[in-house]
Amino acid sequence: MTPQYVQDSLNLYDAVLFLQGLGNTVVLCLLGLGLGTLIALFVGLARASHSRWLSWPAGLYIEVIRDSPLLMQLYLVFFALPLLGLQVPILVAGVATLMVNSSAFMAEIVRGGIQSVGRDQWEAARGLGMGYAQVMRWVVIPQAFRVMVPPGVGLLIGLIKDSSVISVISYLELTRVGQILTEKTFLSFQVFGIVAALYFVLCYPLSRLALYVERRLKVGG
Amino acid sequence: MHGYVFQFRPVFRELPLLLSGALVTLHISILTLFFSFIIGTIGALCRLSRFRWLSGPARWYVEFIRNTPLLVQLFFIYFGFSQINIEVPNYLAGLIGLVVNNSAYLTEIVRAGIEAIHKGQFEAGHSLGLSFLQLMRYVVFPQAFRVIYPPLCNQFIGIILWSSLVSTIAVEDLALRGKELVTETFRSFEVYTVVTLVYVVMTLIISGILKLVGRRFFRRPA
Amino acid sequence: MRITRRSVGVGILVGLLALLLLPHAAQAGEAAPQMQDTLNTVIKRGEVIVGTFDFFAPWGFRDAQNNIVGMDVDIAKELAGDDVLKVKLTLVPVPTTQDRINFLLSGKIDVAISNFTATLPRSKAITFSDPYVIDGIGAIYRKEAKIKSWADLNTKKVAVTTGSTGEILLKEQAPKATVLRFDQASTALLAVQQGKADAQIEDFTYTVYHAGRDPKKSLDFIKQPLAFQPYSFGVRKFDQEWLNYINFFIYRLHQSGKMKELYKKWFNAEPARVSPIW
Repeated sequence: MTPQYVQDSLNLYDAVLFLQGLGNTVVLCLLGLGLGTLIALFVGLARASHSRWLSWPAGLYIEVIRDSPLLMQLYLVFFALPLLGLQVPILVAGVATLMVNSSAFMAEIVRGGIQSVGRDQWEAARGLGMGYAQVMRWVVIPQAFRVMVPPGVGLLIGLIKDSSVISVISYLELTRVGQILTEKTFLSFQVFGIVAALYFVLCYPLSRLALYVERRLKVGG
Repeated sequence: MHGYVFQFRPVFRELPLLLSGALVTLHISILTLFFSFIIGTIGALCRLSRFRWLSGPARWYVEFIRNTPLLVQLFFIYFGFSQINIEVPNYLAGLIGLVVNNSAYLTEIVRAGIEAIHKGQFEAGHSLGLSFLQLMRYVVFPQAFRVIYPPLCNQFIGIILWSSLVSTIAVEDLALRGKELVTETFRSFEVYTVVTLVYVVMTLIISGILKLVGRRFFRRPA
Repeated sequence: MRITRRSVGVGILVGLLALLLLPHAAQAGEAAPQMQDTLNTVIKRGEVIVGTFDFFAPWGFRDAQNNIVGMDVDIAKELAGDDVLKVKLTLVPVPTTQDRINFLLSGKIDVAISNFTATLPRSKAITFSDPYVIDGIGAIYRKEAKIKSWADLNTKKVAVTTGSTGEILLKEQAPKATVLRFDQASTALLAVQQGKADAQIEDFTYTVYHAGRDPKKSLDFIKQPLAFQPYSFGVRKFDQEWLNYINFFIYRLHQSGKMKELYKKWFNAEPARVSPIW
């Protein structure tokens, strides 16, 4: 009879794998959101601009990304990049997908933030003789920032959950760990229960933080 | 790279296959919206209730669902429940997963809608002698719905897009049909481009129609 | 709210444009096939990147310490450590059956050693080496279902892996079966183990190995393979030197007796004769 490998309960190595998956998820999301925000700053500014040439293409970019499933975006990035001649490791493909996806949603947050700063602020600053860039840097962005933080944290929470889709390309994030361990042990109830609990442990504190930040910023006025 | 030639024609020949998957996607999405709305409304009422034993569990349900990924919820319902001897066939598991997930968000949306109504309305309703159900039906809902409508439409679009995850539990939706087409043609880039386009077109048309309907029925308050 | 009335028009416009233009989209003329030289790349790099599965016991799977082990992994170790290459081995777990081809085409791996069955359609996209082992197609089934042949499957629910030879054979041999398609064999197996499907069609050695694994002891496997399948290594097209090297490596693997040794280790049996020469 062929040698059988049966593991009927979770062991210490599996616990390590869970933590590894958790860590990889965090890395994936921070990189994805960080880079995505950089892109979103430009796209959001373009979208808020008065020039049709800027706001329309930005709008198209935002709309197409928000109206297509993340799963499809992942496949496209994963299979399209190599065709353009770029051989990328799996982590990069995952980060690139989350980067593109979050940039669209973040761009709307950026736009909302910029547009929340009243005209009177603009006019006052201009009246003081500040140039466009200076107004942006010293007046608009600091104020916009406060408006952007709560939905920004919300986006991070959303991204952590969305990153579960990256399991499809075999990146060793938390959901993939769940699949691997289920294969070994058949214990899908316990394994996915633990996976869900770990995501909760990541996201719930962040959602409380977002509420707290929102309240603090409102009081600040 | 390496002389790759893009060929879309094999994909378009099989468009009916993809569209049959799109029908399944729409089917499960509409059912999800329907049930999520009902459960979401119940949830919202629980959340707003005076009774701790209603509002507490409702709150925990919402928090737990909103802080865990849909994919994990789907695996848990399809595979996890089986282990404890609760059998769920794949389409049903997908539907339940989507409904459980979206009801949490809908609870918050409906709650926001109800809370947006001026307190005075409730008092006026009570003084007119309306029962709870009558109050809900004639006073609260018509007004709440105006507030609920836009996020509800957004949520529906989200449902359509995220329903693609049920392809991982063997539901033959648009995403899985796409995968089958890749197996046949080996043209992953072309297939997924077309599938994405179908999702985008579906989404744009539906959200456009919903917005038109919204404009028609909800005239802006004076 | 998100978009204006334009969106209905935009949606229809985008859809129509795509329908009209895309079928004709193709790079102008066929680009000349580029010769690959993976062999020298590997030697220069000092590392060979091999794609295996990490969910398909006993060919490529994770052990208790969650390392990737298996028959294919041992063969990959032989390849990396042989007289000429003597390079570092990097194992890349390939997520699905389909992705072996995708990973090769996109350069993520140098060679796929993952119970890869050579088929003519697949050969249009990549190149297969000579076979290194003969396997077959088998079925794991729930004991109550009493499957004996392809015909029995027509009234049953069968789980398969998308893109596998099992899926294709099932469509041919038992077209009336209700098919559940999963990304990975392990997920399909889980479906059978939980009773969501009556049977799974997979490689024969897989069915033999996993039928005994179920803690509830509810599974059995068809004792004779339903079809025979050779496994080969997968490489990219136009990669002649690498292909030649690998073919010779496989020949040496058998000739030196190493193949017999590995097969005995994992299957406790003699490997079927792959070729009259060996």
